[in-house]
Amino acid sequence: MQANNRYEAERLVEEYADMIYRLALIRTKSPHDAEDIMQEVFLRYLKAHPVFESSEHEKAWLIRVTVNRANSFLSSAWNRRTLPFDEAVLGELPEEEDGSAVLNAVASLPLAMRTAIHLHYFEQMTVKEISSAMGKSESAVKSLLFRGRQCLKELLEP
Amino acid sequence: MMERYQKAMGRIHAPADTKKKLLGSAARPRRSRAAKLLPVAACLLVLVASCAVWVLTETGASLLPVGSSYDEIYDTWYAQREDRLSILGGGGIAGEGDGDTYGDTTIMGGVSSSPSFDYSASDPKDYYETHSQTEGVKESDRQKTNGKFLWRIDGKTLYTYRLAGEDSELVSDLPLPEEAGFGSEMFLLEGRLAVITRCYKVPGLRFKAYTRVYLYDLDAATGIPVLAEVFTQSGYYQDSRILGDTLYIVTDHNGYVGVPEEGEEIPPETYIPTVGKGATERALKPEEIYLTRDIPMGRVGLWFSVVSAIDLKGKEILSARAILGSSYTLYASTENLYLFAHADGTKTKVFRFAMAGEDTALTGSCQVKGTLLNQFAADEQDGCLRLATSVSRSIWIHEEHFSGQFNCVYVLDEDLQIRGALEKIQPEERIYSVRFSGDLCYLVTFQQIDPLFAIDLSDPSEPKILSELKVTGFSSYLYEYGEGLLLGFGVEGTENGSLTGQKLSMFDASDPEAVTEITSLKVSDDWGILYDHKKLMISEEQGLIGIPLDGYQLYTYDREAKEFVLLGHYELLGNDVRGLYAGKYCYVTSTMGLIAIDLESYEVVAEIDLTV
Repeated sequence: MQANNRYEAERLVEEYADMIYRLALIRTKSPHDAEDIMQEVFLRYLKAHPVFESSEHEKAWLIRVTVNRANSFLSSAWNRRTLPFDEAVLGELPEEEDGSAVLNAVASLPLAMRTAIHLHYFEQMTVKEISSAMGKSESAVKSLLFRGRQCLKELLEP
Repeated sequence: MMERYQKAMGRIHAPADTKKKLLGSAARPRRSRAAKLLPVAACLLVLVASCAVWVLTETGASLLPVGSSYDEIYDTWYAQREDRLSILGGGGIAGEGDGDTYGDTTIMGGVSSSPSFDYSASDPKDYYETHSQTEGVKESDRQKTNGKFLWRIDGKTLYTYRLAGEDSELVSDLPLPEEAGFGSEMFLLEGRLAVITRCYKVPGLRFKAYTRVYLYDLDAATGIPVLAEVFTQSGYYQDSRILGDTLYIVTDHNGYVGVPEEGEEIPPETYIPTVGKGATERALKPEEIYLTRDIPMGRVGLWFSVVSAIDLKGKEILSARAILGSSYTLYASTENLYLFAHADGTKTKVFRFAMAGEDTALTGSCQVKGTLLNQFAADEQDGCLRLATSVSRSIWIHEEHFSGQFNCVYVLDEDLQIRGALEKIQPEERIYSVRFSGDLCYLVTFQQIDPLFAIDLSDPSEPKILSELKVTGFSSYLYEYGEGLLLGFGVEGTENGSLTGQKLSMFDASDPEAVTEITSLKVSDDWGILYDHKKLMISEEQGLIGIPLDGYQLYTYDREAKEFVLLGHYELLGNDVRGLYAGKYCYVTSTMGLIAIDLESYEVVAEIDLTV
């Protein structure tokens, strides 16, 4: 690989490592699976070297690949016993207000729901973008977001 | 609310060393040693492998090559990693099947003789013991009882309750040592408690996972645990079993070191798994690590699956072994411990370790199509290993996603050769639960409605489907509830496949050629899948079924009326609710305390609230 790739990789890691890691984490609920997925997504990018019209396209591609990768992890490791999400993720973080409650609440939602919630509220993606990333219809995504919000309200607001 | 999520999620970052690794893999400066070796790696590997075989045949340990040096282990992995990277570049990452071959089978020596433990001698017990898949092989749980005391592990605290109906009390709440991390499972073995914890160290930037076993002696009078010994094993905890007095513990160790700079040497201790007792810790020796020829590369990193055997009576590590590659689930019979690892093309590699005597040696390996759902998807009978797998193929071509599913049942003989197979069972669905029972295999698959298959394995070379029962929803756990009855716990659904809650089902399996559903009962409107079967308490002798949903629900199955009967529904605060019975009471615990239920009146007779 040439020097170009080094810069390309640096830019990619700089811009997208956290995004991919967080999405993989909220889907798999396991830091080490998330780490693996991140590595595979990057390797895939560097090998395939797709060309994009814009940075939005690039981001959409990475998100779709991450969702897809996390899918095949889940299907194989779906019932592997893992740490409770908060122990695994927050064990490493300083304790602060109610961050762990809201993370746990989102993590406790069904897979598609928490993915949609994460992409909408954290990655600020539109319903249309989410529908293409998740391979679901726009109305299905709307319903996931609506039901997700309802569930979170019940979980978090006494 | 969503701002709070943004803020909390924003604090989570991808681990810095992984980012560094990613840059390393892009730039690919060859490390000095590997670089020199790579052009001849293939020839060297052949040479080295044959030497290793020779050495081991000599010692009689096993025929699968183990390492002769740490360099060899690293280089074996490195060479295969290069292959892996080229696979990654060739299009889809996972799922493309590659023809219909079963893959290779490697056999090392014969099946070892069975250890001489007497499983029949135990007295009839009037208290609940964690359900064991294999009789005589103990499994861990969040709580354990000996009938007099109940111990429960919650993160950093080990609770001891004295069980005495209305006089039950909390005897001690012992904090685990600071470096223990979090505990959620334990074993009870004749006056000893082995608590398993997971902890993470961050030396410099490297994130490292450890699994620890805290061995406590129990005071016979007070039940109070006294720390006696600590064992450490590197890696993420996967699962464990006890056979006789020996604890077998399996971890997945990630030794990924990235690609070093030119001229940089990598000290073996940075990537080789370690085991330790007390304050001592040692790296596994090269000869304790099997150089799996076709490394299960489900993951990118330099993974090892580590199996150690700890004598809990003698408080010694009897043996430690590792294979290159990570495993995803395990199954133990009374003779063998099987590790299952992902192999490329949605296949599973099977590694068989003998659980006998001082050593835990690899005695065979093979490969089958598909992935095992969990421990219940494997079973050994009369030397034959039976497996139920789901094959899921998924591929992206440009922006289109294609996927396919089917299920298989395999019968492997003592040499791990396939004796019989049923493939392509129920295409487009995947397995949601499995239970082997003697010559039968019960299989639940699901997409919209749930077929329950009964498969006859009495002729290992010719498994055949005896019956297929279609009901709505699906069972995610199957339990043999006495002669001819099969209890299912799972998700209730409608005929178009939408899920509406959770249910108990009882099946009449007395005629495997015509399995029927006798009754089912919805037990909760919330739906979710039961991932941990140990959350359920099922005792056919006591006629009790305990379900930790919406508090705690206690049911029985009325054989005359052929229906489930609710005995009591109890409110309980806290998480990770678990129940067990001891004598005339049922005790239900959570992270916030314990309640005692009288099993005659089904009234709560004692409540211990840890929050006050």
